[in-house]
Amino acid sequence: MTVRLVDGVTIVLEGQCEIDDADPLLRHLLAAPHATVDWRLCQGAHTAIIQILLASKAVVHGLPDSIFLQRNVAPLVKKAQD
Amino acid sequence: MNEFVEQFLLEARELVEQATDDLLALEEKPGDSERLDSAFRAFHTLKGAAGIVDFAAMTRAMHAAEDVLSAIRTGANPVTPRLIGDCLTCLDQVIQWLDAMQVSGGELPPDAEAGADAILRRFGEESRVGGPVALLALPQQAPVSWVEAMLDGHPEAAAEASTAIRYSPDPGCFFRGEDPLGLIAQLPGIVALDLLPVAPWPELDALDPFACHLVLMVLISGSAEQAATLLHQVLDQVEIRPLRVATGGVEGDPGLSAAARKLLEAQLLLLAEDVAEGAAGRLASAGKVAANVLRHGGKMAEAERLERHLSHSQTAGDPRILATAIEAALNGRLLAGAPDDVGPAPRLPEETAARALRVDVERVDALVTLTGELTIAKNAISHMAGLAQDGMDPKALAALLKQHHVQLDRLVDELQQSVLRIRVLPLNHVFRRFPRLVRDMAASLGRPARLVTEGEATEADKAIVEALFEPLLHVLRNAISHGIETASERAALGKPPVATVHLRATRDGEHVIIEVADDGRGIDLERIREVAMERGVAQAETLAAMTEAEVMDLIFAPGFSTATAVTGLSGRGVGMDAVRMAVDRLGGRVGIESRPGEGTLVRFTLPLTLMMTAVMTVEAGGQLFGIPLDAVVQTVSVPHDRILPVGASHAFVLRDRTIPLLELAEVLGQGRTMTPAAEAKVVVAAVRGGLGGLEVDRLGERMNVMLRPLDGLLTSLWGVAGTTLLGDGRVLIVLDLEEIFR
Repeated sequence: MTVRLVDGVTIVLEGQCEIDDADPLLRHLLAAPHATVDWRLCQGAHTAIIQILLASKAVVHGLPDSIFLQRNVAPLVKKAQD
Repeated sequence: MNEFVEQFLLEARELVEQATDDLLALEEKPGDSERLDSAFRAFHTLKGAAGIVDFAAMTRAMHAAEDVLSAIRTGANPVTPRLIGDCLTCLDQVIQWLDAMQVSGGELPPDAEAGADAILRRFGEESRVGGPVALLALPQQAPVSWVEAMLDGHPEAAAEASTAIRYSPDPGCFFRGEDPLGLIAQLPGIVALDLLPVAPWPELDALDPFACHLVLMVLISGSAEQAATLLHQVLDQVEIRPLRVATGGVEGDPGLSAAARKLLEAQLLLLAEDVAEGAAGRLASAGKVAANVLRHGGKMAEAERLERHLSHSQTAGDPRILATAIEAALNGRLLAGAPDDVGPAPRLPEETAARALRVDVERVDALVTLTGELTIAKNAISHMAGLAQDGMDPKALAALLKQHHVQLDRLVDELQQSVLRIRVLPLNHVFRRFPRLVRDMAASLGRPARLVTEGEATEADKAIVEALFEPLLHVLRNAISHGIETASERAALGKPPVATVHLRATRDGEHVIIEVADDGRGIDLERIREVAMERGVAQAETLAAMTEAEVMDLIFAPGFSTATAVTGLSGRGVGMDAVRMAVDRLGGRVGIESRPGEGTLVRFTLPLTLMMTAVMTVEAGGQLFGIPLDAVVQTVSVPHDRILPVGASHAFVLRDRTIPLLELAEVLGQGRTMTPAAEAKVVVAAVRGGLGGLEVDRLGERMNVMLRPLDGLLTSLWGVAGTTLLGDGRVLIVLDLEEIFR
């Protein structure tokens, strides 16, 4: 499982998150709108995943485990929250 | 160097070799799909490996090669020699990059992007039929609003960015398996990224997760061409704007390591010292060290230039001349107006020795076992020390010690053998480089030839295997450029049109035999005699007295070369004498046999190992030196009145032969010995086919030593073959007689 809901308030993204993970992520976010997304173990994410994070203005926890995501994507996701 | 880079360098070299083998086999048998797949896999793995160390330029180059090979796989492209050649050139580039990284300790080569661009261009020409690179012509256009907005939004990135990209994926792209962000992530040198929704985000429950609603905008420091290549699958959805013409800036000098810089800086400090006493010595020493540092870094021309500045500095008595030269070397500048500046010497491709050895686990296990036994033997010594302290009978103690010594002797012997076994490499290590080179040489000389290698699994010491490349290459060059006839000549003679050159290795007792045999025209003895006379290598009467084998051997004489036409490959003034010298240096022999019309065979006979050397110690000028025993013919006492001056030097007669005599202490710059004995003690040594005498003060003993070759800054020290430690801890310098008698 690369996307899972833990204890009802944290959505964990783990490893390489592919397009197939987009739907579960969206459903988790709809079910728990105030959940935090912990992507510290995320090593890569499909465009669809990042798109959901941006559209949902989800609160993310920590920095992902990929230089590209850390440097270039994480600031955009954080900015979307504002 | 970090662990990943080390692993990368090791693996990449192996992959390049694999790919080269496959490509060459593929050229011979274009239909061999296994070889094709294997080559493709090698390139693919190389690409992956480059990705691990963040080497974007190499990833690009490998990707392009992969595209070409995959077009062959699908049958879209045929296998052509040109295509194989392009792929091989691509591998050459990789090797250059790897070498550069090895030297710089893992830094990516600064000109890698340019190299990758050149490779892409090469492949671009290849795939004329609408390949991805055909789309590369990107006009430099006036700035458009999104570019300006992007630059305004990222002022900190604007300075670095050279290309702006807007990627508007079509909404259904996810279904085609595209991942726009994933593609963008592969772009070289991303300095800024913006992800914007095409329309304001809808409520979350209305969002279609499988449609792409994003526009991606990127600023990269890489070129527009690079971006276009990486994004070639989606070029219809991408706008690429070059922001400025990329400039190939050259900065700093990548060639000097940090340690080398420190050493050079230390010499500057030394020169800056304002003390009159010993100034000349400081000047000479600083100059020598600096030149050695440069030489060690492979900067031969700079080192020579620096030495000229040194002598200039010495004649003028002004250390500042040298200091300026050292500073220039530090900054990587060439100093104008250097005395007798001859320009940089053409740089030969540097031979990088394999730094890592792959060793069979069993051999390591054998060492571990031996270590255990040695520990036990060591413990026994403390037990015996205890016995001695308790007043054990000396005779019994001596017997015990002797017995123990025998045991230790056996263990050390075994240890040496095991270590030697670790240092051996299969000859394949050097052989596998030749099919490629022979292919290129044969093609450029228009003499079709194929190389057949045999016995690649034969093992020899690492140092020998690695030193064999140059001499073997030279012999192969000769075989192709002189030995083999042209295709039409061969046809007229009824020989197969493609010549065969055999490269064979066999083990013969304590020796390794390597043979290079061609089926060409053989050696014309008459021609050798003529050339030998013309070039003054031998006189007519000497020639007349020579046997055929001796005449043939003249090929190895200095100054002999039968090349009538100077080609780019051979006939550059380096003759077979260089081959003989290289083989001599390894403690081996080289010989030649030939049959007119049938071919020529060059045979190298080499020792299995270099590590143990038998030396004889001699004393000269109050210091002990070692002379390699295999060079020593005999030792004689020569009365001083029988030593005759010949010009500026001396000679004596031994069994009707005049033998040149050198005084070792004088040659080594230790001054003449003050107390001449009635008789001179002379070591007669066989050097370069002749005999030479070395006068020494005293003859010592014979011993087997583990010779340590000089390394680092001492590599180019004159007249020294290596060093070893004596039983009492002193360093024994073992002389290189070849150099001393040169």
